[in-house]
Amino acid sequence: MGCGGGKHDTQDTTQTISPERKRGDAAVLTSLLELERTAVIAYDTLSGRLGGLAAGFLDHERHHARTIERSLVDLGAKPQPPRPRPAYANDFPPLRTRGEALRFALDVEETQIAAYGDSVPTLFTPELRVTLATIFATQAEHMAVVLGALGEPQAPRDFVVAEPPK
Amino acid sequence: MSPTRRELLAAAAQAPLAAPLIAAAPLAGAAAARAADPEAERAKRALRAAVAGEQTTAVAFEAIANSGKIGAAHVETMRVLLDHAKAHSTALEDMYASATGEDKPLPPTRTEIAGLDKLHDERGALRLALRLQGRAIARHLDAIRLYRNPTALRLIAGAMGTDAQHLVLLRALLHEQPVPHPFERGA
Repeated sequence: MGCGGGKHDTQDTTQTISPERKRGDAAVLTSLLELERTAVIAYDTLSGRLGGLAAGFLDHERHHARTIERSLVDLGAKPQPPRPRPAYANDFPPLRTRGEALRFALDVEETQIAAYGDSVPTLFTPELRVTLATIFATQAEHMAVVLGALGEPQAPRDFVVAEPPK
Repeated sequence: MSPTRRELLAAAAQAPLAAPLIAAAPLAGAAAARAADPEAERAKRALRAAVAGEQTTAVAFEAIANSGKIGAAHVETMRVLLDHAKAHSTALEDMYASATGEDKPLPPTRTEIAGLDKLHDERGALRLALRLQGRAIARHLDAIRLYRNPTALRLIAGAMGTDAQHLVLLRALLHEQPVPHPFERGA
């Protein structure tokens, strides 16, 4: 499928996806789109406190949201229009200091990583799995940058999803 | 609560390669079914390549950390990356063996990794590490495209996410932009 973020190659994966499975993939994408829209509003809000870091990530999140919207159309689904800004921003925590802003950014990234980590294995469309995995990897990179800004280890776990063995 | 890696591996071992394609095949006939199914064979090759990508980074990171070409502070970073690469290799090797019934793939030797015998300075060593880490991510993405077992996909994605964080660390050491693209595809 023609997802903007997916790697296009000549792989002859001629898999037929049933309408039911397409609907399942679309439901997953719809949830992720709302998450991306929340991230867009979050980084827009954070740009005052975090400057260039937030601006760069905001640009990435906008790319992700547009790609998911296009992927929904490719699946034959119609993306829901964004809700009013307060619907996303009302639950944001107080952001009085740079530290609070970074903690919130970390929360945004961890939430997305968990959501993408859960979503990638559930998708039936191969190129969609790849597209979401490239976004997932980028969110993991964002998380590393935020952790670094907080003075914490930037790659704290050997698997970003799935806990190490007890 | 998220499953532990051990639980993920145990679940992956229960599912045959490319499960939707050959789930009905008797265990003894699984290899034959794969041989007759080009898509399953491609999935197996992609999984093996993903294992090889992690094995290669583990071997290379250890060589780079011990090369004497990089400063003490950067050696510490390389050892963190090395520990993660070893954990990824072990988990993916186990998953490959469980899913295919084949032996665990052998890691490459140092001499088989292009560029490892020509480390002249710190920048070159870090550049090689960055290139190999990017390649490992690209191989994970190929496996994610072709492989369909959800539990295995979660394990591969978990390793790939940490690999992406390694890219941030290596780019920082090379004074490069930490997240240059909105879609991380590796090399």
